[in-house]
Amino acid sequence: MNKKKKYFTGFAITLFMLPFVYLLLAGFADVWNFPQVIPHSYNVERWKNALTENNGIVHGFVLSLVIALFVALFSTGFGFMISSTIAQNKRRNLLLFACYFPLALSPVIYALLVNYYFILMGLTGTLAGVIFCQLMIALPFAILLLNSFWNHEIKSLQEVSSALGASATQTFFKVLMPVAKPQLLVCFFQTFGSSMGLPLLLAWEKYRHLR
Amino acid sequence: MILENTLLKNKINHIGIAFFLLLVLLPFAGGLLYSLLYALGLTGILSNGFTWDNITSVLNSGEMYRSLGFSFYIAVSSIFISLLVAIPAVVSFHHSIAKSKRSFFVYMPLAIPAIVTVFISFQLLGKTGLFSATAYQLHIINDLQQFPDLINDRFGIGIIASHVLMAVPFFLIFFSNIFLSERLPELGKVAASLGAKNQQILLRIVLPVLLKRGLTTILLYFIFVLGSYEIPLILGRQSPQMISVLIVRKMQRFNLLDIPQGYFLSAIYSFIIILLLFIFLSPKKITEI
Repeated sequence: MNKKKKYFTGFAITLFMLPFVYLLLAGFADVWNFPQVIPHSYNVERWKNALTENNGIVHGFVLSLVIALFVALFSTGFGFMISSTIAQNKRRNLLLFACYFPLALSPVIYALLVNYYFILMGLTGTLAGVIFCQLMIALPFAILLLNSFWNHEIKSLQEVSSALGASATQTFFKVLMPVAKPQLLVCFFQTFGSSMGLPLLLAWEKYRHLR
Repeated sequence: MILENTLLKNKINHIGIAFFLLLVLLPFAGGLLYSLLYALGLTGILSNGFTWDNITSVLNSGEMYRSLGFSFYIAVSSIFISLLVAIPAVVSFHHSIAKSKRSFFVYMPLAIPAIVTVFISFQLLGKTGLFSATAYQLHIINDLQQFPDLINDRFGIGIIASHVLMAVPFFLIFFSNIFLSERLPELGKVAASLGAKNQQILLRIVLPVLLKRGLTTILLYFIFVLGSYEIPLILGRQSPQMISVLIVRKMQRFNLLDIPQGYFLSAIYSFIIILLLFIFLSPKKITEI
């Protein structure tokens, strides 16, 4: 590695790690006033309080985890099924295009637009409402992600399986599912991560060009 | 057996389409319809029948144009600066970014949610922040008032910096993978052996390929920045506000007369997004993605 590359790598790593180092310092800082560049003193009391006292942090984290797990399982399962349906549809491109709308819209504005219907259905401020709202974004994301699975090779595989006497259920669970396993896993982890707080649109774009 | 398979397949197809309509299309279409009805005075708590008043007052106030202009300025600046940083870095260090063990450090910032980025930017760029303190310790400034306004400023520097902080790692990874998958290093060598200069290779081969392949993603990121909420809410000023912040302010104010205007603004914003998607990502182009 030449000098130029070494300097660039060092600078880039410092820059990318700066937010994490700062958060860590701020988390343990006791007194950190201007113009101190690093904290004057440290303590772990805040961490102890956050993890031991009944202040909702642990409960909130567990709840987020449960919601994310449900959203990821549901959107991956139904996303797989719906992407298969869309792949066979004559208006495939139009339906896929429609999947971009909820992803491209600002989540805050989307939430405000559908808020009226959520109030009507009694979903506002409920666990079901939060899950439904997350599915409105996670499901189109999963459909777009899994759509590329349904290519000509998969279609041929389905035809061969059917010609050899397998039922639709057997073809689905014993032929398609094992082949789709890597993509299903990626979809599950992406929707899970997104539900926990990462931007869906970007996660999809990242995956699309990294696979 | 064949008949049974076909029936099951049809049943699955119907369930699939039903879920697609229920969770993808219906909420979006319903929300858009409700916002239009509300803006036209046909529904809502203060509805007195059809009226153009809410629409004309928004169109005549100038607030919408300033907000849209500011949102486009922030989105264009953030994307432009991010590309300006990411593309030269990818051209020079694509292998380190995409293949080496150090690429782990590029992936890490992608895990930071927008709200945490806001907090970090606030703490780094504020007048009593880390950069200000460093400048003070280095005797570049003698008083914190001498440190420039980088947050809640009129040019949206804090907002742009936060978006750049989030976008650069993403574009580094994205373009590095395109760079390698399109075999641009090999293409560059072929061009060089045929007598092309470095500048020609960059401007006539590398840039066109990267930008063409990345156009959809750049557009989607542009839309993401255009509609961002948390970052401009905390790091922006009261006026002009980015479109998402303005809409939420209008819709959640105590003045109920502002709510229809908020719905009209959200309808306008949604139509702009749909229009952008239609122009750059029409259904015909979907198969190319």
